[in-house]
Parts: sequence; structure tokens; C-alpha cells
Amino acid sequence: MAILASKKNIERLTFILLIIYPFTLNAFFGYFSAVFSFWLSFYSWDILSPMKFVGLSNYYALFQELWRGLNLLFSDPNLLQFRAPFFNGLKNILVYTAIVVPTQTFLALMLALMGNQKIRGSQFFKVAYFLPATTCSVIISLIFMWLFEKDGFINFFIIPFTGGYRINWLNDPTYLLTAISLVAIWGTSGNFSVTFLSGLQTLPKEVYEAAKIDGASSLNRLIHITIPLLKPIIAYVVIMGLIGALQMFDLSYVMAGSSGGVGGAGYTITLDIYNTAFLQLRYGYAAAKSVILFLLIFSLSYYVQNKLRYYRHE
Amino acid sequence: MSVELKNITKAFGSTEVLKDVNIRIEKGEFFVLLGPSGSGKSTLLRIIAGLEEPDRGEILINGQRVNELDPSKRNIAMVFQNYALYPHMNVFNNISFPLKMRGVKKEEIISKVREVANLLNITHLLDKYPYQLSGGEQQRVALARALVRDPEVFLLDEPLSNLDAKLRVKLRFELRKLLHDQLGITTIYVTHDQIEAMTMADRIAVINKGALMQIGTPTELYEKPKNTFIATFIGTPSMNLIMARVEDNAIKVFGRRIIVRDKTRLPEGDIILGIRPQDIKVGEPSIARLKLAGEEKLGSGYILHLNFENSELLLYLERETAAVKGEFIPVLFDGPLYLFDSSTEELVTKIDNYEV
Amino acid sequence: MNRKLFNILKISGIYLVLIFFALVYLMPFIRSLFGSFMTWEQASYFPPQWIPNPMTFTNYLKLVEISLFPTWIINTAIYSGIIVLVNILTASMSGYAFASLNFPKKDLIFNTLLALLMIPPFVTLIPNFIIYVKLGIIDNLFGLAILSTANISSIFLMRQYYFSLGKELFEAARIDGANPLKAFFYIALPLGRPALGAISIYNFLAAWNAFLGPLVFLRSPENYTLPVGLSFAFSRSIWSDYGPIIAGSLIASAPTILLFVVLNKYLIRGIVIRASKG
Ligand SMILES: Nc1ncnc2c1ncn2[C@@H]1O[C@H](COP(=O)(O)OP(=O)(O)OP(=O)(O)O)[C@@H](O)[C@H]1O
Ligand SMILES: [Mg+2]
Repeated sequence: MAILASKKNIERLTFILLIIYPFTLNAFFGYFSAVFSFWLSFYSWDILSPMKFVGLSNYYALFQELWRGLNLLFSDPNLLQFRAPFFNGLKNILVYTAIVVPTQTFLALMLALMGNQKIRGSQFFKVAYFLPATTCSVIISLIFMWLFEKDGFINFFIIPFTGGYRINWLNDPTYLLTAISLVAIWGTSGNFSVTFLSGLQTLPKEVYEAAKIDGASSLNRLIHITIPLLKPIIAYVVIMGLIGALQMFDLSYVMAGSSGGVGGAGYTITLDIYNTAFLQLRYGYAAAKSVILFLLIFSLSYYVQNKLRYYRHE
Repeated sequence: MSVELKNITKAFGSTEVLKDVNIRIEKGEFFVLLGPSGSGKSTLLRIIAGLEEPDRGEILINGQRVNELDPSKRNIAMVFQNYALYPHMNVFNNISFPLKMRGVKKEEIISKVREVANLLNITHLLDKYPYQLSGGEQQRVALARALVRDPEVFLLDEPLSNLDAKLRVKLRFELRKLLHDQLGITTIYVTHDQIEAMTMADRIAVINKGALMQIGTPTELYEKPKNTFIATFIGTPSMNLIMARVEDNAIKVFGRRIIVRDKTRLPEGDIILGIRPQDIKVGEPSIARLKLAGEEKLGSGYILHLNFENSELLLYLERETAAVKGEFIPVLFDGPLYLFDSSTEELVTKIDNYEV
Repeated sequence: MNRKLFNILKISGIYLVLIFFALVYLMPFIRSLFGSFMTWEQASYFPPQWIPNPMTFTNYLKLVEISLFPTWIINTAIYSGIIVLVNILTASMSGYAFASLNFPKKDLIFNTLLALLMIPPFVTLIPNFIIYVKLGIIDNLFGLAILSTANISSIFLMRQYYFSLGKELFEAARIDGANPLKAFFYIALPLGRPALGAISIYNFLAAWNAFLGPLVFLRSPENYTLPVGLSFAFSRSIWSDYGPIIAGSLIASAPTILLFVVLNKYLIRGIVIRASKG
């Protein structure tokens, strides 16, 4: 009882009581697991038999695979998925990220700028654009697979531009990744446009009024006021987009299948980690791959963040 | 209940906010903590309440050390500057909350709340929510919530600063009447407004930059300010401070000599001479003729700004002068003079009897 | 005159683009709604047809013919329900603790938690799976739900929210005789309602739509949630044609769509909070 009477102790005990569950849970399944994962990457293990310390050989195998992939890329790209799946996943996800992030950021910004004009029904547009983001990616993929069929809904709108040629989106290695990218852009750009929109609404009105009085045209206002002021939000959207894109899993898993579809054209790093761990039961090797994924995400987003910050100070 | 603060010291990071503060507040006293913004008044009050912990020092309530007690166990009540009414509770529930937390029985809660609501004339507001009330009404609800459980010590942090000027003057009077005359609760009241302090307090403690400058009754502070800070902080308009010299036990100012009639010996050398604007008159036999730089109308009187050398002398008049700007007018001293040490700025002596 | 004309043209141009994109974003849903009432033959007809002829409910009926689909709905509801309810508690409790209680190094503790947001789920996935296997709670809906019951973003959001209320309210409660725990139940929890509403929606959407976790941690089809179930149904072709997949997708996304259409103001407000943190 004496402990309880003291003011300090009451507060501290209450604090502990209130955070103990979230703290322990996150410490265990977050930090402990992250460390475990790193540690596991030096072992060879299939859960059932005893763990075997293998030093750096998981990483060595990984770099061998990457090297093999790099050579195959120029000599015999058809064998990539078969001989160097991690490299193939890496290559695909970089291409995918390069397509998706700029496109969705640009589209989102454009839609937000237009939606920010004083027009009726802006709430309707917000809801319409945001809806895909609230829908499950698996469901989106399933619906789009139907729409992307050779005799499907999307080709109907495309044939005027292809001279009647119906693209076999999902079964042609040239188009599979494009189809997945389009679905991703469709699914997330609306979400980000609402982010931009709320950012636009917090910009100070006085600056615009002053610029108007100074005679700046609306294009000039956009280039010299809006975009610079939005820089932090653009950075946020790019980085969030980047982190999401590099970890893309659901769309490929459903639309291409866990083996990456025709010629492995829809294969990703995350699919490769999934397969290595849960189909091949090579947990140590998979852990090494996840460490590489973490480093990739971390360094790329760090790089982009610095790049964008640099812009802000110019 | 009496409240005693012993050697209270507090720093936030590297900034010292309170420096070795010692105060003893007597039972039933209406005590005001006065100081400019950022001087540490709120911090001191929050330390008494137990919301903040001092780095060093003791807080005694009725002679008992309470440093380790939770705010909820100190039997103090506090009114916050923004009132901190619970937005999700109506007025009745706001006022009854302290009783509910103490497990008071339902019937007793109802009668208690009615009693304070009556006392503060807010019975008609009991069903309303805080956002439906005016500033003055919110203030009274906050008071009611603090009063309802008969606290031993009552803390108020600038409770009037969010109200308009007229209401402020009215409540100043009412608050003191209620807390001091009617209920006799020990009250500690924080303000940066010296008029508020002068009109309400039994005693005032003046704080500047975390250090206690002086404690005393309003009259003591006005008539015997311990240093130039208090001299200029208390009284409107501020006391005039003039650089002067003491030579041969006479004060040299404006090229004239002021001879002290008392037997006191003055320290020779540079000195700061203080005189209140109310104690300077226009007329002869003048001590100096000074240039009129401007005039302010106050409603109740007039403040004349006079130039001499590079500084300014303020003069308070009840009636307007005929003098125009730029004119040189004769002034004479007609009231006590204060001498402050030129380096420590502490009061050296007060002179009532003198001759120019 | 010229200026007015220009303005009219500009506004119509903007409308045209906005409506075009609204159609792009809504079309898959609209198309599926129509298609779900068609026979598969008609739904895959080229050029696309709009009016179901004959109008058929077979796609929906086929869903309930196999008892798995209703089970998946129930599973998803249980899974999301647990996650939403527990997160309301964890987010409000720890948000309040981090915002207004004193504890040595509490900001360090908080930032340590926050830093976890930078670790990709794929990094912790494998160890967590192994831990679950060792604990014997693999293929268990409740076991899986535990992993998502202390969402860090939600804690962050609640902490921000309580900061925005100002500390005076909680201090007043303490002076009024409430201990820190009572101050939570009487002041923080009821005042947290608006933010907790937003948090509930986020957690609901995340749980209802979750795929990777359920895919890895659930093994037997009768334990699946809707996303895993539908993907399973598709890859195993448990219905002979694609029609029921479309119908099932619509049913599975109906709660999130309805929720969003009804509560979109809430959600969009939450984005402002999230964006301003970045
Ligand atoms: N929690 C805190 N952390 C850091 N510094 C603080 C904190 N609280 C107060 N301070 C600083 O302590 C000093 C004194 O603050 P305090 O609120 O006590 O002043 P005050 O006399 O009440 O002023 P005011 O009349 O403006 O209310 C200020 O400089 C303030 O910036
Ligand atoms: Mg203050």
C-alpha cells in the first residue's frame, strides 16, 4: 500500500499497466523476430531437422544467384526464372517500381489539383477515387483478371489503338508485368490523390491571394507556389509508394501465381521469399533474402528522402 | 490550511525556471503570485498542486510534507486558465466529478452540487454542456467544480485572463468576497496583472525570472519596493527612474541639489532616483523646466511625457494642462523619493522629507 | 467576355477529366455487378454486353452450395472483430499513457516502438511463422489475430489525438481526485471516441483485406478468411467457372465499400493526420 500512495509510483505503475501488452507484443513479434531473422540467415534450417550454422554461405549463394542472373540476362533471359529466381524477382520489382511510383504520384497529384478547384461534387470524386484503396487487393486482382482476358472488357477499349489486335495480357510475358502495374496504379493512385488533396487544403490561402494580387497566372502559381509547398507531401507519397511497391506480393500472387506466371514475368522478391520459405522450407535462405529486401527498401527510401530534402532547400 | 514552500528549485532541461523559492502562506489568506509572463508562476502553482515535481525543496501543507502525494490526494482544488471543463460532461456532471471520484453518496452529491450551483448562480446551467456556455459562465462552472468538495487550498491560474475587461473587474471583486470573506479558504492566485494583484491580495509575492523578489501586502510593495523591478512593476504608470549622484549628503539631479531633512546619511556616488508620476506636479517652485513630448488621455487622468537629456519622465495629472507639445513646463517633486543602488538596483532608502 | 468563355471551357475540361477518371476507378465494380448476374457465357462475350440476359442468380447460389464460402465470411468477421475491438483498447490505453503519464524515458520507449514501422512485414514473417509453429498455434484464426492486436500506427494516432486535447483536462481530473487509471476511464476513453472511430475503420479495413498473414498462418480451407479463400477457390477452380468468383468478390468487398461510402468523411480526415506526420 505504501508503494501505491506515492505519486510517482502510481503513475509509473499505471503507465506500465497500460502499455505492457502492446509493448511486449511488438517487442517480441517485431524486434525479437527481426533479430531472429537476421540470425537465422546464417543458418540452414527446415524447422524439422536440427539447425545448422552455415556462416555466410546463404549470402554467398544469394550473390552467386544474382551473378548468374546478371549473366543470363544478356545471354539467355528465358532461363532467368528457372536458374536465378531471386534475380528475376529483383529485376521485375525494380521495373515495376519504376513504372508504378512515378505514374501513380503524377496521376494522384493531377487529380488532386483538379479536385481542389471550387467545383460541385468534389466529395463524390473523392469517394470514387478512394474506393479502390479500401478494397482488398486479392479481390481487385480477381476482378481484373476477368477484365484482362483476351476477349475481355479492357481489350474492347484498347483495340481501336492496336488496330484490332487483342493483347493476351495475362499469358504473354511481355504484358503480364504491365497488367499488374496497371492494377496497382489503379488501386493506389486514388488513395494518394486524397492525401494530396488534404495537403492542398492546408496550404495558406494568404500566399495565393498575395500571388494573385502580384499578377501571377494560375500556371505560375502552380509551379512557383503549390508544387514547392507540397514538396513534403510529395516526398511522403513517393516514399510510401516506394515501400509499398518494393514489397508487392498480393497482386502477383493472384494474377501470376506463386511461380510468377508465364516465363516468370510476374515474379517478385516477396514471392521468392515466400516460395523459398514455405514451399522449399529453406528458412535460413529465405531469411537471408528478407534481410536483402530490408536493405533494399531501407537504402532506396533513404536515398529518395535525402534527394527530395535536397530539392526542398534549393 | 497553511502552505509552505521551502527552497523550491526547478529546471526544465538546462533552463532554471524556479530558483530557491521560499514562501509561507497562512491559513485563510488570499495570496497572489505576481510576475511577468514566463517568470515561473504557473510552474510554482503546478508544483504545489503536484502536477510537476520540484528538483529540490519541500512542499508542506499544514506542516505535512506532501511532495510524494499524488495530486488526487492533496485535497487542493485548482482552476485552470482555460478552465479545463470536461467537454463530454454536462455542467452537473462536471461539478459532481470530484465528489464521484471520492465515492460520495448519490444524494449527497446532488445536494452538494445544488448548494454550490446556488452559491455561484448557475443552477439554470446544470443541464448544459461546456461548449454551450459563455466564457464567464464557464469560469463559474470551473469555480463550482473546484469548490464543491470543500478543498483546503484553492489554486487559481490567471482565471480571469480569458474574460473581457468589464467582467474581469466585476469578478475580481466577487472572487475575493466569495473565497476570502465568505468561505475563508486559503487561496493562491496567479496573475501577471498588478492591478488584479493589488486589489485582491492580502499578500503578494512578486516573482521575476524564477526568483522571488519580494513578499508583502499591496501597500508594502507600493510604498517600500525592494528594488527597481518591483518599483516599476507595481503602480501605473510606472515609477520614474532617474540617474543621479549623491554629493555631500545631497542628491544632485537636473543640476539642482536636493537636501535631505532626515538625519539619514546617504551613500556618496552614483545612485538611481525613483519618483512616482503621481508625485510630480506642474508649477513653481520648479526643480526643472522640461520639454513636453506628448500627452496620453487615460479617462481618469492624463500622463505627460517629458523629455530630459536622453530619457523620459512621466507625470500623472488629474486635469489637462494648457501646455502644448514642445513647450517647456516647470515641474516640482511632491512626494516620497526612492534611492536605489546604481549597481544592485536594491532600495537604499526612502526619503519623505526633503528640500530643493 | 473572353475570360468568361475561357473559364467555362476550363471548368468543363476539368469535369471531363475528373468524370473520366471516376469512371476508370468505378468501372471494375460496376462491370462486376452487372457481370455477376450473367451466365459465364454472356459475361465473357466479346464485345461486352451490359444487360444480363437471361438474368441469373446462379453465381450467387453456387457460393452457398459449398459451405466453405459462408464459413470464410464468418471467419473474416471474427478475425476483423477481434482486431478492431482489441486495438480500440490498446491504442487508447497506450496512446493515453504515452501522451499524459510520466515515466522515465517514455519518449525513447515510444520512438522505439515507432521505429518498427520501418521494418517490412516480410522480415518478421518467417520468424513469426516459426514461433507460431513451435507454439502450436498455426492454422488458428485467433492465434493469427493476436499478431495484429497492437497496431503501432493506431497508438501513434491516439497519442497525437490526446496531445491535441491539451494536458489540462487530464491534470484537472487528477486534481479532482481521479487516479491515473480513473482519469483514463472517465476522461480519456470517452473523449477519444472520434479518433477511436477512425482507428476502428482503419483496423477493420486492414483486417478484412489482409492476405499475407492469413495465407501463411492458416492452413486448412475451413479456417481461411475471404481473401485467402477466394484466391484458393480460384486457383483450385472449386467452382467450375469464373462467375461465382466475381459474385464472391462483390460480396466480400461489400462491407468495406458500404463502410467507406457511409463513413468516407471520417476516413479522409484520418489521412490528414497520417499525412501531416510524414
Ligand atoms: N514543460 C515544460 N518544458 C519546458 N519548459 C517549460 C515547461 N513548462 C514551462 N516551461 C518554461 O518555464 C518558464 C516558466 O513558465 P511558466 O508557465 O511557469 O510561466 P508563467 O509565469 O506562468 O508565465 P505566463 O504568465 O505566460 O503563464 C517559461 O520560460 C516556460 O517556457
Ligand atoms: Mg502561466
